[in-house]
Amino acid sequence: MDGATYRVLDGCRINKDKPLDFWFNGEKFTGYAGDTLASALLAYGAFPVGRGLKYHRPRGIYTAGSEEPNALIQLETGGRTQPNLRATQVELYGNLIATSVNAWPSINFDLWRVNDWLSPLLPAGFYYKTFMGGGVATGRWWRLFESSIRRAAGFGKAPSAPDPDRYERMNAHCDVLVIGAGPAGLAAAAAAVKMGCRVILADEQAQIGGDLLADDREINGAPALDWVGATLKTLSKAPDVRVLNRTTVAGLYDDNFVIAVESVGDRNGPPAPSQLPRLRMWRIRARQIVLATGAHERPYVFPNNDVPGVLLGHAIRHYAGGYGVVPGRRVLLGTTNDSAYRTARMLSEAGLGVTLADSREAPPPSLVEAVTRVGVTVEVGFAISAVRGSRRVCGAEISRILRDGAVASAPRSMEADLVGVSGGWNPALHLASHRGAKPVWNETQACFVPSNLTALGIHAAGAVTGVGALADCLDQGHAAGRAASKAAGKIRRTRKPVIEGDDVADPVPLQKIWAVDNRQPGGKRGKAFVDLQNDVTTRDIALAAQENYRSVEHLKRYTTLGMGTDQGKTSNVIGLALMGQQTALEPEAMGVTTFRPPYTPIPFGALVGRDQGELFDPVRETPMFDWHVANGAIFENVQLWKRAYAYLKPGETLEQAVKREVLAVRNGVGIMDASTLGKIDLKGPDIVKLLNMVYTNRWDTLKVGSARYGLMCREDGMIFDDGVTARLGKDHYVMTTTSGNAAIVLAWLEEWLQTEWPDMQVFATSITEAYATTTVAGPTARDLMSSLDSDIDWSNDAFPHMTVRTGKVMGVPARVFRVSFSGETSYEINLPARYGMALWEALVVRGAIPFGTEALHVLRAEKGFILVGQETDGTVTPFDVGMGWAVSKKKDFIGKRSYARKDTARQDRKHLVGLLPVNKSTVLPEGGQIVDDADQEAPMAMLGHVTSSYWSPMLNSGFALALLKNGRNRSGDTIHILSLDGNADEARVVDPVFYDKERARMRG
Amino acid sequence: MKPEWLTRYFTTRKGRGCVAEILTPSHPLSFPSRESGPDAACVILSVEPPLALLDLRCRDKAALNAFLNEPTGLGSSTVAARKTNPKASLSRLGPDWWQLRCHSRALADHLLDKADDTLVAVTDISDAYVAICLSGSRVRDVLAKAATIDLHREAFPVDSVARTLLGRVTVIVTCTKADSGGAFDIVVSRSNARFLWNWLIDAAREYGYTLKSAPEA
Amino acid sequence: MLLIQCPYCGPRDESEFDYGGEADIVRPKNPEKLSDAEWADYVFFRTNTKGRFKERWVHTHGCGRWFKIVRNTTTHEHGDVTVFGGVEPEAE
Repeated sequence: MDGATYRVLDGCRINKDKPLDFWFNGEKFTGYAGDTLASALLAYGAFPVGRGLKYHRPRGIYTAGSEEPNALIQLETGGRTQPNLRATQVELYGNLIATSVNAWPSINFDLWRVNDWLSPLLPAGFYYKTFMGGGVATGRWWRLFESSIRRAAGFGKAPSAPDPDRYERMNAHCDVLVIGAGPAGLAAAAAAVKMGCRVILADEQAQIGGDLLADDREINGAPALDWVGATLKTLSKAPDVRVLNRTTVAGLYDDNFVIAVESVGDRNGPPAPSQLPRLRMWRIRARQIVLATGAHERPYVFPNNDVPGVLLGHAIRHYAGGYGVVPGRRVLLGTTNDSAYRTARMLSEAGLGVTLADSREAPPPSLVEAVTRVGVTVEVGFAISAVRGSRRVCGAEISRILRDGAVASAPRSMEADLVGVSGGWNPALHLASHRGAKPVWNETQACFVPSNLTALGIHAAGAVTGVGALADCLDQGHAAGRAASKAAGKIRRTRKPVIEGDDVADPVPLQKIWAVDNRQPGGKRGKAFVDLQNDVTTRDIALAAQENYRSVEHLKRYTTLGMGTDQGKTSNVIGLALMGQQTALEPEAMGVTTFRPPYTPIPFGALVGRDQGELFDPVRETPMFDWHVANGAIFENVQLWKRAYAYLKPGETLEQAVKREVLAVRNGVGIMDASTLGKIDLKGPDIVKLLNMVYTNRWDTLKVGSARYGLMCREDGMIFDDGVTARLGKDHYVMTTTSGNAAIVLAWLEEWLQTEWPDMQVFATSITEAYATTTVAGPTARDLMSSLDSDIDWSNDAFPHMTVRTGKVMGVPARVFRVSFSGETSYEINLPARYGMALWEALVVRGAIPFGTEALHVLRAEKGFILVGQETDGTVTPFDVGMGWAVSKKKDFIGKRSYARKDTARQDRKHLVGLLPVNKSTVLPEGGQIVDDADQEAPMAMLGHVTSSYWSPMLNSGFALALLKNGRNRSGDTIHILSLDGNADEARVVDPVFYDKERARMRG
Repeated sequence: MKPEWLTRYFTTRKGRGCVAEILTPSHPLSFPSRESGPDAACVILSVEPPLALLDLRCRDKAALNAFLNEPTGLGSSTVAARKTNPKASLSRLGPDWWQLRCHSRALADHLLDKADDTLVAVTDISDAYVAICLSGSRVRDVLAKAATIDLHREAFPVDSVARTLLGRVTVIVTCTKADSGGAFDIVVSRSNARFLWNWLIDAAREYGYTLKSAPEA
Repeated sequence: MLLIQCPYCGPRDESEFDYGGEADIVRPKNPEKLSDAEWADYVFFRTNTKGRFKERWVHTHGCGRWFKIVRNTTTHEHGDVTVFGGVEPEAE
């Protein structure tokens, strides 16, 4: 690209000793350290950097900050690419690569520009009416055209490769959070520090100073940047102050919880150095907040106002003062207020030709005099009424303007290649809106200001309150800092510092102009854009009014005004004011749409942080986990636990492994890591009372050393957990729960004990992880146990089924339960967790075969034992699964009354049954729906579903458990199970116990 | 044949004419000490020896004090505070909930024997938890990546205790030292220990860290 | 994210707590004597208040205690913490 010929001044924010090369749309440019991508590009002129969303007209950089609607770029490529960044906020670094979004095939030749010429056919609501509405054009058309319409309307591209960068998350606390480091924010932070507060000061820019960075303002008679430097120095010396520059506060939430995104690692370009994160998400809990977010300049609207080279007036000053860039030689400024005079003076002093059109009849004489003296032509009572050009401004028109924006004279042609427009200021009240604070209309300043903030712990200061004078900003900042500190409980007497700004002596209020209505003969017609990002024109708003989409929320949805990445920061207020003109309502009565977080878009990486890969979610490992890993285990997740599912020997398939493990338990001895089973230690004199209430069966007679199975239900009578509880001492029991419900059951007990039965004396303590639990199961389990050095008598007489014994096993104190989920002789050995691995290995060395959860599930299903969460789903009662024997009629318990309810008492509910496929080699699909007639018309009458289904090596057949309507009375019937692939399998309804119906094996 | 790595976990001894095996303990965090990153003094992560930890539940403070006073010399404190002496440290986690970290196994066994399951419920939870110690100049920054509680030296001074979340892991955090960046004890359930340990190392990467393995029990 | 005042531990992030629904729903003393409608009212029906609502929370990842707060369901303002019987918070 040819030279940066528009860098005509010095600029306080750049370092000319550090040139930086970068690439934009494939061409090489050079900027300086301190530049933004936008300022570096403008140094080459105000050329098109993007295309409009709908009409694909060329668009240039329009603002100097986060409100930018046009200059959206795709930064970098591959996994590091980020779409839709605002060029105005991208700090320049060496070899930066950026491309325009929304231009196809290229920025200079955009095929979709055809939409501009077809625009009479494309009014607001066009897509809805044409493709999605009823009548002739139906949804079919939308489906046909959707992909090309979406491509034409899209912004940036999502990355196609994994993001290689790190993102961090940080929690922080403070007494006072100051948002915005302009004059008000700095004054507030300084005041809060003096009051002894812990302070966080956050600002989205790389440099602290906010608006003071734009030009040569003075505070206390010296350059304002000196005051900024001195204030920063004070802050950095204080012990509990954190200054976060490059940090965008993105959202305010309840109780002053705040999220902010800090750019950390890639300020010098990716990859981020060493181990630094690219972005850091701050999660700040602030006692009080000072909102010093400033204001966004708004334009007024005129035909062709979207041509590159039309900028906000204030943005021109920012680029000139901060970066030394003025992207034009002949400047036309249009203003409705005092703020443009500073810009005019600065540009004229730099030697540029400047015309200032002030719409007001009587601007402040001191300002007019001051700019005239340096060569500015001031046209009083005139406004910009049109711009000429399409890829660049090549001229403009100004017209005498009436109070309401109507044009009162034939246009005067003006020579101009840079146009700045200043229509007033919109306070950046978005964050207050996040907290539900309603914006209210301030007629003097002609803007919405935040209201009712103090009750929320928020104190506004500076331009966000609608004030414009520097002295007011400084005063308000100081006062807000003190008020916030006091509200945070920090009360200290401090002297008010003297900080004075260099404000206009005779300010004149702005004139409310929203759009210049150019209907004079000879005046240039053309589209006048209200929302540049969404291509919403004044005509679209008129159309919305005509079609009665008049409330701000309807206006937004119908025209897309204020949607998109900029959320209408420059357009919302104008749009609703224009709608107000159509409907004869003042802005106050129109109101604004609600701003919601985030203030600017947040990359997903910042939200995810380091919660990915190995650290995605906490993992719980048992004491024997390493052995499982080293011995071919594949794992299943049970809540956060990693449970060994099966152990695959080399060359073995999963089916072979499960079969081998099942047969080991049926024919010899297997061991299983059951450490994940929930274990709750119960102590106190009222345990029986508690057990009688939470379990469906009776607990009055359980002897010390004995154990009993119990079902737990909720008050609706549905099963939610089961397990064995054993009595270890007079007032000491241990309850076991399913692995997934350990914490839930403990919480359930605590809830009842604390909230309903506070007088019941029971303490419940989780001991799940204190013990490693190994299940030893199989016909030779007793032989294996007897081979261990122990003082426990393992014989069936001394240690029968459903009892518990304590003693030493291999030198370690142990609790052993005789319980069986496999249906075989079974011991559950509980040792202090640190010895779990050693015992496991001792058992393996003795020949025990480790089996995983899948083998266990086959074993228990052969026995017809339910698995909570598999056979039950919160709609299943004990009676439904044939366990009425475990429900006491002689006591109250949680859920009991529900069994008398009409629906629960029905005899034809879904019952647990066994299923044997007619074709024995079939394993029925779990979850498969059961029907009587697979050939019936859909929707079919569904009778239940398969809950568990496996291959049984003992039956040499597939088999299943199922919940079947009226199932207990359908034994022997043939039913059909539907698969997702449309096939149906035939199966016979049988008893759910398939193996050892007499229960002799587990009692033996 | 017994593979070589198996010998890590149990030893064989001969006695009374038969082979008796004694199980040996293992720990989820066993690794050699090492240093890494820009400045290894920023974060020091060390594994504490296996715990002798008792869970105490009691609604009658006088009964608790009577139970603890003679063997430990400690008594009840306010919720979220710790009292400590050379024998043990007592942290109060809730209005009727304490954890006693005994500095000897014998003390823990003594208290377990003495407990009567009624006024004071004592449960041995030694193996349910693993203790990690964090110190170094950036320790508060590392913890702030996960902790939502305020760990500022004035908000969370020495002997403050909080049962809270570090990320998505429930832990008990205690401030043990005020100097330098401060020092913190983190007691985490055994099953989560490795995840949390790896998480903390990853969090410390941007500063640099030293890992110290657990001394033998 | 709310900052909830645990009566025992002080202010903590909402993420440490679990929600327990409407407060002051008492389990009937003699469920067998209730009509189906009365029992269903206890088991299934809760008020859906717009405005100030007394509700239960439990400090799951802290002290484990249940307590009640009043929360405005439209503004999220909350306060008026009360505890259940049995264990009182201590001011020391």
